[in-house]
Amino acid sequence: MARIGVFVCHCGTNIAGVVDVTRVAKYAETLPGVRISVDYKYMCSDPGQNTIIDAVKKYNLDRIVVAACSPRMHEGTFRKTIERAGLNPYLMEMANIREHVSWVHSDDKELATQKAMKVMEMAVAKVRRSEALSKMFASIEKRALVIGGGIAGIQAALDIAGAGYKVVLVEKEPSIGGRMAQLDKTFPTLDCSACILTPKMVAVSQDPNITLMTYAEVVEVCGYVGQFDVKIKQKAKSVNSKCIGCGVCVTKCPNRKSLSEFNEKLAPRKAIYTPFPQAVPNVPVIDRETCTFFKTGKCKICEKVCPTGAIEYTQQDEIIKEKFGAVVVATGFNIYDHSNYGEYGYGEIKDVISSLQFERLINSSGPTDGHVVRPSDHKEVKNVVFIQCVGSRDESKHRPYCSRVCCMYTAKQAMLLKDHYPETQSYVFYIDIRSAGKNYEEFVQKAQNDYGVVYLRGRVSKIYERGDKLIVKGADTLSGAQVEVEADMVVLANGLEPKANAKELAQLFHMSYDQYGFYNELHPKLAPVETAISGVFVAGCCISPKDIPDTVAQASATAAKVCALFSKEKLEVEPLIANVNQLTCSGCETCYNVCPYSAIEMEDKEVRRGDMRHVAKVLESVCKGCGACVGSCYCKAVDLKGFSDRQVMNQIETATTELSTND
Amino acid sequence: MDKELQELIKKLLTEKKAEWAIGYEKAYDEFSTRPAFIIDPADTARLIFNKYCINNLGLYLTKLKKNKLAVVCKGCDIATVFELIREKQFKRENVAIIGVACEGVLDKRTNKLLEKCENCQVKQPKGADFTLGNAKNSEKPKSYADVVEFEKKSSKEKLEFWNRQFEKCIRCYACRNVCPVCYCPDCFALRSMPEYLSKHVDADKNKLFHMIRMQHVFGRCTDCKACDTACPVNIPLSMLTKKLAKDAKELFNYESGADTDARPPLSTYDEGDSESDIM
Amino acid sequence: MSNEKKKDINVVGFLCNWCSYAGADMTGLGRNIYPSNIKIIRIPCTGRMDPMMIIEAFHNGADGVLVSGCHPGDCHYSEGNFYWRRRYPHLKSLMEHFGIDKRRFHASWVSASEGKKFAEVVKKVVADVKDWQENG
Repeated sequence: MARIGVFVCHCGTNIAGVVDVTRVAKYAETLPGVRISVDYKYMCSDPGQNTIIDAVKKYNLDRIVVAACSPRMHEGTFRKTIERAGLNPYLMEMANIREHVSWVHSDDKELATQKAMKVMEMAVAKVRRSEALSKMFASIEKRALVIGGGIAGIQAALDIAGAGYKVVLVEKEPSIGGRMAQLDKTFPTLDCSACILTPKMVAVSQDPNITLMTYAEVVEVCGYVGQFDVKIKQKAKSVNSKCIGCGVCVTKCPNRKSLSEFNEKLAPRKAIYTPFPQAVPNVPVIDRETCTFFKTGKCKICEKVCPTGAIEYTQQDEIIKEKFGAVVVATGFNIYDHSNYGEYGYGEIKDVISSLQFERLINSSGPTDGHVVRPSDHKEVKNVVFIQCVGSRDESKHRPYCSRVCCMYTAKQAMLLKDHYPETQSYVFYIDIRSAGKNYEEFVQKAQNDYGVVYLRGRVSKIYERGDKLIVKGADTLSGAQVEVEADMVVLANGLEPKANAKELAQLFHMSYDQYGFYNELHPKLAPVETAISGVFVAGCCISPKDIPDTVAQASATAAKVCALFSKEKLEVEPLIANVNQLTCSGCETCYNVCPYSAIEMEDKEVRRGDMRHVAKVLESVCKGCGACVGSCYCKAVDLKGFSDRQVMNQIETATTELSTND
Repeated sequence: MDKELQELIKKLLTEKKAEWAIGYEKAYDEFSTRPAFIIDPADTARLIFNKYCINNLGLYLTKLKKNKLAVVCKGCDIATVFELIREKQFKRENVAIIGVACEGVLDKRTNKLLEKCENCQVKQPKGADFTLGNAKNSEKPKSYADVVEFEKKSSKEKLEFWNRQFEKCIRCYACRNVCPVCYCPDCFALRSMPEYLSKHVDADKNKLFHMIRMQHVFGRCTDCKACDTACPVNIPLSMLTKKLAKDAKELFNYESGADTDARPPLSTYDEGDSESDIM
Repeated sequence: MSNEKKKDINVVGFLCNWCSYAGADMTGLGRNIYPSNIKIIRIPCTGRMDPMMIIEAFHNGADGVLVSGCHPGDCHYSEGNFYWRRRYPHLKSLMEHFGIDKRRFHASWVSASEGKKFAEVVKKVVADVKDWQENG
């Protein structure tokens, strides 16, 4: 007979406020095999854990049930607790009576208590069939993959490399730098974005521990923490390593048909190009979609002018296979496409521009050399209207969240405009000003007080063209008046959203993401850069909109996590894997066919004396414990440790019976 | 045809192309046949084939642990052999399939043609190594009319129907024992840790046994009716096996035993699979 | 009271660890109320969902069964929910043939962030089972 201890947690009032925990504990004592049952205010606290350890010793317990929060929260904690008490950590089950009971059944305390009793009883039923499992270890490939070469990826790569580990940094565009490279100045200090970013970009290219792969994408991922097998597609740059970055090819290229992505389509770019002059690596690529040679077979001017013979039209896309121990995903953001806003002209009014377009216009190395002129007629501007919350805090556009940085960058842009052109006047339409951050509120106040930016609280209902002016109609909800501003240009504060292919990348790694495509952290507070996939970390705006300081902090946090992982000799892995009872295996190969990890091997073996059979075998170091084999085995020869048929059957049986007393 | 059959098997055994041959022989009366296992070429005179050869000899292929076998198959039985090859129970080259043309077999209890023999598409066997005799396949496709009719009943009526049927069940496991794809080394029904199925015999437990067995043979059952004809208490198991065949066809466009290299419907997936019923 | 309890609808929910179980945790975090009739069993993945377990659950007297996993493409183990997506219609059809009403057996995709959806799913399952019990 098992000797089970049941420990019921109050979680302050989180559980005890709804569930009668004393009754749950009392009920536990009536269950067969349960020797002791106690309730305590905070089971996870030090005294709480000691209660368990003491009880194990006093009552000679061999199995433990903790009725508390979700196992996803504290399973690890309590496994360690009972290990300290001298028990095998896998002889503990959690009954989730917080997330799955008290928090969701607070409408009926009696029913909630009854359910808590049942949930606890199910855990007792399961633990009765739990088996002691021994720890498993796996080797770690001490190389990190960083996906995304924006400021987050750059910081993570530098930090990991700085600790002495090898890093491969993969960037989709021809250069690293990301969104930050597009910005003119940064709030609230107004230091030049390029001045603080480009040295880091150079550091990446010079770090012997970092291998930089630009114009490349991750296309396939297999494996798991310590051993990720990743396929990276290196797109053909059509320029080989002989390039010295002199830029003659770019200057001489006659093809100006494309619009510069880096300059937010405000200027053309050549078919052979580097996104911007400070690009790292400073090696151009040929855009084969527009290149005259690739389209018509004629031209080859770049090849003729290249002094080093670096142009290579025959280059092919290449798939490179690499092994990594850990991955940092820092894929960043796109800005919300304002062509979804009819009231702002569906993106068709030329002088209604996005915030990033404004950054390029005011940037001295931008397409207008820093002159803020109207895209339509290149005239200088006098009155400029800024509109906040475009694709943020807007349920009608399915973007209810706040993008966090727009209030700040709008204030910054209005101030920069005034600095460049003292005679201009800026108007800002806003809903609320959100300026939480060190020196942030002061910054916005400065825009209003020192720079004379007029802040109008309200939404803009319509923008239309009258002559060469833009008429912006809106409400000032503070004065209750309708306002109409005659503007030369309107700058929209586009909200932040995940990259268009964020979901596809998540699916490669099996990371979870929310309805917008932002990646889910393992825990929003306590594990903000970890994901549910161990060994995969996330940083920056791919999780949620955030500013540069927060992004850099997260990036460094991921680096710390990666380094902590790499500092171990061996990696402890969950022993919750499949096992085959070869005596009952028929050798039908069903499990072999369904296993997503090729963790099943077929062998011809004498399972009993004189009984030579074709049977399945689990490769323990490869199995991840998904159980697809178990769900498809007809012969019931495969089972899953920790979720065995005996355990699940016990749970089903308990779940479907009434509470065993007339409590 | 008997003469031809005997000669062929004699030749296979003599030339060592088969160690054992499985065929039919006359049993205790003229309406009865039974499986015959021939090792000695001299014994082949016992072999016959007639309209009472109801057994699916594919059953014995997994029981005889021999390298080289020859087996007499009606067109429908070939599906079973193919299915077992697909499940790696033996290799194609190790079994010589002797297909015999068949105009249908009779249920000796009723002296009527088996229901499956109406509209039979494989009276003339397909895929055999040797084919004996000639028969004309039905032009009409397999009919699922009775299943469709049954599906129209309310769930309460279905439940009551099966409860009545399984009250009769004595759990003799004849259905399982004659089933060629029920070859598991250790049947779930007899396990004790965990006890998937109580050993207690009552309508409820009997139903559980049949439900699980039907689920286990989905995508593998060739609807050969061996279980249906073997049942001593006449539970209409055909109504279940036919449903499996119909579902495999309708849900996954799959036919068991048609292809030795196929992936059965539950061992594969398509990214575009329907999920209309999933919330 | 025990008489009253007997009438209670009993639903067994098999939830995959990575999406739906986490989603149900999220339901708790968001304090979204749903009927207490469901008893949740955590499984690693819907791919582990042995059809036998569902048959066993009905046999043991469950009024309803819900299996919930990751959205297609989001499976933590890549493919598990694709296998489940095939087992489900087959099993549902077979169960119906045996007389287990289709209102008693459900499947859903609930991601780790869809706490509200999980509450809605449970409400729907319980309502369907109730409809079966009351209207036959």
